[in-house]
Amino acid sequence: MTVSSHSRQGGGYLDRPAPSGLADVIEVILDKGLVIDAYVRVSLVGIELLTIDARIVIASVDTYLRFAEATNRLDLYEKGGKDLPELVEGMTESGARGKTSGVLGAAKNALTGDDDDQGSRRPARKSTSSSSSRPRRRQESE
Amino acid sequence: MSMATITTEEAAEMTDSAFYVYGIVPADAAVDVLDASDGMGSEVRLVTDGPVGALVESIDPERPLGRRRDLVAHSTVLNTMAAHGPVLPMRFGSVVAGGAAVVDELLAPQRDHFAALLEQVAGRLQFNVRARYVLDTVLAEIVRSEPEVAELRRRTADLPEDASHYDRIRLGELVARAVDVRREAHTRRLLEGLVPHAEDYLVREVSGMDNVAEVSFLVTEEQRADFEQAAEVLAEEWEGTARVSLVGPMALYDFVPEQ
Repeated sequence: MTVSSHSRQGGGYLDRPAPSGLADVIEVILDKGLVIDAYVRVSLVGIELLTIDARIVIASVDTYLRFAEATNRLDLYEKGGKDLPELVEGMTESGARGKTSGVLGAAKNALTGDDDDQGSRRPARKSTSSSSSRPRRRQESE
Repeated sequence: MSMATITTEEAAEMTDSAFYVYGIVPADAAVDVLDASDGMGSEVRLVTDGPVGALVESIDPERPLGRRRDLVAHSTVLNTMAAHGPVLPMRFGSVVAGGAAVVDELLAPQRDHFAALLEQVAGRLQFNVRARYVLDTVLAEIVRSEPEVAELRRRTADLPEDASHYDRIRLGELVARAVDVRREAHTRRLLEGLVPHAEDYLVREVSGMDNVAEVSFLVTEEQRADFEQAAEVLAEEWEGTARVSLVGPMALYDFVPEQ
């Protein structure tokens, strides 16, 4: 169990990221697991649990405009660009990397406040990427 | 290696004011699989009571939890233990006041209950599967297959944004719908491929234009090889269209039995 970046196994098509990347850890563990009875718990100064508000993208004008922009940005054959096989190949290499959810990126900053990110397998995060919802801080009251 | 097992009597003498509780394991759990660096800064110990034990670490009650290291420690300790035997994860941030309370208030009152739950989760692991579109490839396919999309795209491409606002909204709406149709079909395909090799599953809500699906699976040791193979098959099938990632094995965060 190390913090190394993802490795490929088997046929090599499947990504097998280490479960210790911070984004994955946050996504996986928060709000999960057994809860101790309230009277046993010590209330810690400053402890705060985040709930990631990962709602399904709601069809909205904003979403539509982002889809329209992404569609207009495409460099297709009809404009004299690459033909399809080249296009697919290029995107396979560069398209999916670095597209992590804005929710997790923001939650990471809110949670840790540090940028020591050596355990993450995706160093480049675009804050304007795919998500429309924002993380919500919530005081755990149980 | 800095793992210690502490008996009920010794726990009563642990004067540390606060213990972080990672999870519940059998009293004979193979705790020496943990490294000294796996915890939040001090030693991760096992406090036992009869057949069950709690994985704990002494912490400073004045220090807020939530550092990167705290979150990673919670995950690393539980996942490492889960790879070697049954674990019931506690919720992140669970803290008990003093060593005596770990036994008297946490373990003793629920000893039989914890023992039964541990039996239920024995030989089971969680895997999370996530698929994301290679968005430009999918969008290009939509432009090619839907004449109205192609036409709106041509019409709006060279106009300033405010001159084509409504056409752009219409274009985006059609594209968003077309992506939704593909997302539903891909999610169905993902479940068809993997559910037969799992004992239980949970489809998680996702956001983001490029997201296909995120699903947690409860997989037994016997199912594991077939499950991983099925995920590999899916990833190969979707190459160029969507990237499939498989995280795990890990503790059963999404499948702790009902209390």
